[in-house]
Amino acid sequence: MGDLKAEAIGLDFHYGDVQALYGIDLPIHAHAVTALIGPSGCGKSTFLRCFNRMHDLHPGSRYGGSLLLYPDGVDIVGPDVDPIQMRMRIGMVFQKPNPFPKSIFDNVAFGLRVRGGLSRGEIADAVERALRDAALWDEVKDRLGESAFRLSGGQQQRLCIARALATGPELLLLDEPTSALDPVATAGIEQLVLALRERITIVIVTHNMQQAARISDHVAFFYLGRLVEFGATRQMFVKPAKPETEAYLTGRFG
Amino acid sequence: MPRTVEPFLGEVNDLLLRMGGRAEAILAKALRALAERSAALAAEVQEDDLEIDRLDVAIDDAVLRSIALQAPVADDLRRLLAAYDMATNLERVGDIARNIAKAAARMAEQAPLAPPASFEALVADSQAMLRDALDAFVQRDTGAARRLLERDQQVDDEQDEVIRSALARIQEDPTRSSQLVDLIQVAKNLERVADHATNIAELVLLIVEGRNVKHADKLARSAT
Amino acid sequence: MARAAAPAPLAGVRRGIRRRRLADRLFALLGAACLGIGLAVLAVLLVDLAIDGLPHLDWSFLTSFPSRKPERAGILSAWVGSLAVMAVTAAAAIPLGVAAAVYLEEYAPKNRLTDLIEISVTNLAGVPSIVFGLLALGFLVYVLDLGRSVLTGGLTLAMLVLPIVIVATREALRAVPFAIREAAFALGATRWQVVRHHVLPYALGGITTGVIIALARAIGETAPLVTIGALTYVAFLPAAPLQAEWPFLSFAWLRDPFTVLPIQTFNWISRPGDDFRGNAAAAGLVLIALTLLLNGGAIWLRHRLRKRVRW
Repeated sequence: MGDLKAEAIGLDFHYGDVQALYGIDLPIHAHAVTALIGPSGCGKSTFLRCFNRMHDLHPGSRYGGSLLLYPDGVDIVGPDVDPIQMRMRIGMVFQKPNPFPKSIFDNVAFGLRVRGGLSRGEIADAVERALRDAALWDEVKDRLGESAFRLSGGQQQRLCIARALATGPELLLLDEPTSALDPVATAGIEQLVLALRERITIVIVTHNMQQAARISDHVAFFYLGRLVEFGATRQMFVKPAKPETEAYLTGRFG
Repeated sequence: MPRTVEPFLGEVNDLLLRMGGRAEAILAKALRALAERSAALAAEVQEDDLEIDRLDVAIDDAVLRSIALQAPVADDLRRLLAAYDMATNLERVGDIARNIAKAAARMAEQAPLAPPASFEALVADSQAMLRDALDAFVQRDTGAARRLLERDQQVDDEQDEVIRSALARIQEDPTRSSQLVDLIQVAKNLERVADHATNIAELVLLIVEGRNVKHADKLARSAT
Repeated sequence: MARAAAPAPLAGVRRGIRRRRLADRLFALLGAACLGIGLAVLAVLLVDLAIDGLPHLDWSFLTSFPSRKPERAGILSAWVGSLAVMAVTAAAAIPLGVAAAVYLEEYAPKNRLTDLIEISVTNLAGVPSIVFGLLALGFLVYVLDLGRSVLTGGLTLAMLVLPIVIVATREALRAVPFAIREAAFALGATRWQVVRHHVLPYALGGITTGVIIALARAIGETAPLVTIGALTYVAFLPAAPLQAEWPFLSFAWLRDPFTVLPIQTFNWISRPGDDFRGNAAAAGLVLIALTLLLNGGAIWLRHRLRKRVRW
């Protein structure tokens, strides 16, 4: 867990005239789970979406500083970088499960088909691998052709995870992945995150501090667009360095 | 709007303050029983200790409930764990007072005995340490807590002095050996009170700074 | 009712509720009455038309050319002409309209030029149809020299219904949730891949509905076609699209003169005397039937396509 997978250096972000992120310096350790916590509107989701350039879909977005992806050290938010290239290396799962209105198989295969160059056999293998990684294979292996909407909420979210994993990303971004799920489904996703950590770096935004405590190795506390504190989870929840962090964790504000 | 964990913390804190007050009082009463050679006071101490035991159970219960129901983190968690530990320490002080009272009852039946050198100092210092530890806890005063940790050595020395002196007296006058042995017991008990006071001081550091300094000297020495 | 027991404020509340329920019912009755009047008028028109036209509606009516004798006059050339013109309209308006809508909705940057284009499209829908006829006459007939042909008629109507197709397509595109697009983009798809694999397939129901509504409108247009010179008395059909020798498909019919159902109806009704009134009514019935068929088809198609895609 010593190497870095990514690193934000003085990262700024503007929506038009409004500044949403101020000079974020944040390391993302490889093969570890980094949780982003903070009250609503603090910038944690905004920061997450910088990694795969999702802000580019909304005109008027402007990045400042740099966001480096290792091992090659490419600046994700650099002007010469192709966002589509970045999105192929970085996967994302959203808050509300959003499977495509297609079959289960087609959902997982979409990312692979978009790239092209794979035979049908290769695609089928990759789909099976991804569904196994997402702990969904046994439940759906006999009904890959069914509509994805026939699955339960928790299964749909695991399908979205499989869809993101199918393309073999180096970094997986989870934007409050369990806030729309019931406790049992939530527990399933959390177990999945812990299992995936061995092979892939994960950054997760969560409103639920207990969830951050349960599954993350590092925690970053955001407030009003700034990074207030970053540290190992076990230290942060026993004795944070900053009084603001302690006030947030103990519910004194936010 | 107060946080949902506040009533839990408040309850634990109240119980702890009451227990601290009683621990100081029971120790003072036991020592008075010794000084005034009063069997009656010694008997009261036995009763008083029951109240301390009840408070210990109540605090354990309150801490367990707080953790189960509120899942506290950071300083709330540290405060609750410190309270749990402190209750244990104060309960031992109660037991120590009981032992001192028993010794006082025994000595009251026999001829008066002049206490050895440093005994008065030991009595005063150990009580002062307990009082100062409880004050440091209430004020969250880490400076006072640190100073307390250093006074422990002095009490150890006083205890050693008392024991040496008593042992010498036993050699001179074997007829008074049982009383002198009781006195030695009381000296040891007072030294343990000082130890418990330092434990409480360590808890203050845990709560405020998040630092666990238990057994720091011993661990440091074994590492070298 | 224990009136003595009910406290005064409660009785007042009950009165208020009764009053409001009454107002509710009155309003519902008023709405139903208005609807009833509208439907009644429509029914009267249809019945009137049917009384005049049904006797004339038979197979020979549908398969005969117009004639100076009312008993022998039919709408063969009219409905074949309508079909031919519709084919050209559809072939022109659908690709242009859908592509324009896709551009405006998915690709166009949010700047003043785009706003200008959007406003122009909306305004086009309000331009009187005869103005399109004049435009077509000046541009298609004289400048491009396409003549008074099926091609000209079809292109004129295509321009007329283009705004309908564009607006309907845009609404259908907008109905696709952003979450789906986000997920597709996050997987590394280009904008075209997102549109092609996710947006267009799910918008298809709405697009088809819009297209059919546009065609249903076009089939009844008379003024622009009259302006570009659709003939009113056509006793021949355009050339057949299929032919015996290579390449088996002929486009000669595009250059042929033509007439359409509304024009034929107009021609019959504007003759002095009552002789052709029945024929006009019958042609009107056929036109209504065709329009209803098209609209019904739109509803059915939309229902079928919606079932496949459930958010």
